[in-house]
Amino acid sequence: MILFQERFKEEVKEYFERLETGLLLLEHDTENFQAIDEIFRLMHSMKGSGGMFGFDLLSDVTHDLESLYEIFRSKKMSINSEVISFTLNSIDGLHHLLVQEPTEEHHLLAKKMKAETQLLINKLIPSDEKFTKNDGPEGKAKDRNANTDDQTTYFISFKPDENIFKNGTNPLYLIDELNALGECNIQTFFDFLPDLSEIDPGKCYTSWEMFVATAEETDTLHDVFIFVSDKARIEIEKVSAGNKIHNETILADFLNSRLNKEFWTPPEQQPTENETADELFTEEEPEPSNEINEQEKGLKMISLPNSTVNTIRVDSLKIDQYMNLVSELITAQSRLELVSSKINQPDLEMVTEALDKIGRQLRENAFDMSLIPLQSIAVRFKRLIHDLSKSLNKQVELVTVGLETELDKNIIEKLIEPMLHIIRNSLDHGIESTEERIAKSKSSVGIITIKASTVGSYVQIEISDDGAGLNPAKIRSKAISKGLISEQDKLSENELFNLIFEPGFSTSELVTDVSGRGVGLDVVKRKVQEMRGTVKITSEPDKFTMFILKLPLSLSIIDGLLTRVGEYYYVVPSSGIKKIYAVNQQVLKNEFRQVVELEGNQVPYLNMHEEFENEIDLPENQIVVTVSFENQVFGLVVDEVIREYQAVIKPLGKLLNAQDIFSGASILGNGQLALVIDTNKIIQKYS
Amino acid sequence: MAAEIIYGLNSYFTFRIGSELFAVNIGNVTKILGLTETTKVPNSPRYFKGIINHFGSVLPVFDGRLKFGFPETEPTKNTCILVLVVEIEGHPVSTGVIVDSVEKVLIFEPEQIKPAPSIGKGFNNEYIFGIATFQTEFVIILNIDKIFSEEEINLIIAVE
Repeated sequence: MILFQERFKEEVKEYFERLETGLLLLEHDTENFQAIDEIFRLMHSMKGSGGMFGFDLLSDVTHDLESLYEIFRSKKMSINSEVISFTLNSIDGLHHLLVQEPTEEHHLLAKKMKAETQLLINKLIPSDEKFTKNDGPEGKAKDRNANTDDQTTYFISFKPDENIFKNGTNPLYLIDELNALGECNIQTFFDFLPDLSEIDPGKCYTSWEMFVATAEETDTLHDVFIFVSDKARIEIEKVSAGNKIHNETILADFLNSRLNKEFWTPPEQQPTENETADELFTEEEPEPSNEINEQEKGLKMISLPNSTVNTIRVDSLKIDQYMNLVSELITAQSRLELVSSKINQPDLEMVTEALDKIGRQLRENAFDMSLIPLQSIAVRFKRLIHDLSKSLNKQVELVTVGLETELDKNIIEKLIEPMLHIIRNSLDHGIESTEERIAKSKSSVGIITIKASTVGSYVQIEISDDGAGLNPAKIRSKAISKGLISEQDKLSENELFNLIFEPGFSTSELVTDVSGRGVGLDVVKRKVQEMRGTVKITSEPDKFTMFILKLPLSLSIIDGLLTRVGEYYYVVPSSGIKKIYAVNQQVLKNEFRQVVELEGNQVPYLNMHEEFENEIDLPENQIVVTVSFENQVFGLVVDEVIREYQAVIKPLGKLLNAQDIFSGASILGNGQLALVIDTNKIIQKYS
Repeated sequence: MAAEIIYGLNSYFTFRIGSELFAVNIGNVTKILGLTETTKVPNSPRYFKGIINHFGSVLPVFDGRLKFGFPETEPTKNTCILVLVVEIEGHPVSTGVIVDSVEKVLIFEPEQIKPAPSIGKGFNNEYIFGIATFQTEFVIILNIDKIFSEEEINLIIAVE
């Protein structure tokens, strides 16, 4: 059960995202009934499964929200931005209600949300109309016996697809739900039941026919089956006005006419307000006698499996495991290659080569699987802009380009926070107020653009706004007042811009609710660097500000340089490498301080051979690999540079947490390990 | 590699370092590996031998001789790596210890295990779970969670 609850939570989070997407669509196009339907459906399933898995508060609140959307779904009114904002806020509230053991606080929140929803419903619909139409199905069931004249007797034939259990549907629940709508007369059929030896307990062989006397309209009856409509054959027909459940003659007559495939005319028709709707309905819904339609339905049932499975959900842990196994395979493969080249046996070589090819494909495939498009987090950005532009009273539009660009799931997760931060900044500081924009003869609507593309083994994300741009003079005076630079310092415009990434730098004069709480863009920079990425900024006053993020495709595989120091191997990530120089021991020895002159520049260095205590003597000639970090250049002195190397990084594990100058280890072809150097950390530690 | 500690067993895995017979609860032992080349991690103490590739993951390996205060010797054909799972911050973590030789599995009922006396001679009492006897010999049952506790490891790494 806990497993199911966890899965449900995951699912609900997806629902939330889809709800947000739908709502934001509606914002632009309030007449988008498809979106309204989708929202309604999502709420309905949340309500249903929420109750089933014990998230009663969630279910309770969504019930009211569902009622709210029923108003728009039935086209009584069109949706407005007030409702959209309200719903978005409610979704935030629902996030909090996603708990199994609610506390007092949760109950209060739920109560408040329910009250607010009811208030909104009351506001939209005059109260007399409300109770008959817009309460949820359960609510209506209570007064079902109030007046039998309002009721209509329907016939429902429900033949579930035999695979219906596979999506976790229990047909009995649906029948219970019908029972709640009104008085029922239910017959169960086992026509499809095979011989005992052929029974598959995972399949459903039962079908039902029932009469229901209810005051509900046919739509409500259809709603009961809304989630199984493609998994079952459902026929709903009007038998007669009024409650005729106990009038066996009419029921028998009806069944007879069905059997004989005659057209059924409801007896003693009293003109009721439901009439027209029902007739319309019977036209849409094929009569059982209509054989062509029968066949069509049959076809629909056969073609079902096609429409169901295009994607499968896999726990990301499983993908990680798969990735690990594949990289192990690659390692084993390169060992096999080593052995095979020693043995020199043509047959073995052929197999090795074939294996190599498959291995490589498998690796690419595995790699591909762990990538997800940036699109998956775009809703968060849209939502942020929607909310913030309202509260800042600015008009802002989001333009996205290339969000289908894919990145490692782990990176995407870590990217959300810095990206939101940048967007928040652009909204708050970048985009000017509407009046200001008009004064500058710009369009009153500001535009924030997110553009993503793949560049080599990197993904570049540009976030730009067409706002006020950065003011170098202002940054300069601010930096001086904060003591980040001195009056005498001469900085290029670029260097000045980069100052805004310094800790404690915030240009906003007023500390606003949105950004400027002291924790600033330095957090963005740190987060991006943690992912071995870089962030840059360019700007032109009154035109634009653009943040350029460059990120590796994956955290687990990096391009690096395989180097040897003494008897051990180390991988230096390519991202930081600038140049490689050969140096003689004399040059290094002569220096009193640990500085070497390269191309006329004084470069501090670390001789890894000396630092990493080797038993092998210092060689006469060594190699300096210069790496850059921020604006510093630093030299790493190694004994030998072997080749470029694509390293699968393995974590060093808990026991070695304190060894932070290494970001992990990579398994070499011969099964040995090479430590991967974290250049940023090593520079921080030694310079 | 999802290694797990199995609790509640009264079987003990014995191994030898120098002339002493040590034991750890069998629930903490996952594998015995032949001695392989280790990759040294710079700036770590001498008794941290380095890391090895253990079926695709990184396994830290300690030298049991140095860790328990024995003089370093040349490995013999009996020298091997004992792979243990210890609990660090509530998570099972695999770690390797190089021992001179592995012996047998012995069963000790709780009442057969005596608390460790103060024996001095470099043995820290804290690290000893208890002492049992097998035939005429003492068996030192180690408290390995303590030996590989995180503070201990951090201490190891900090030493230069």
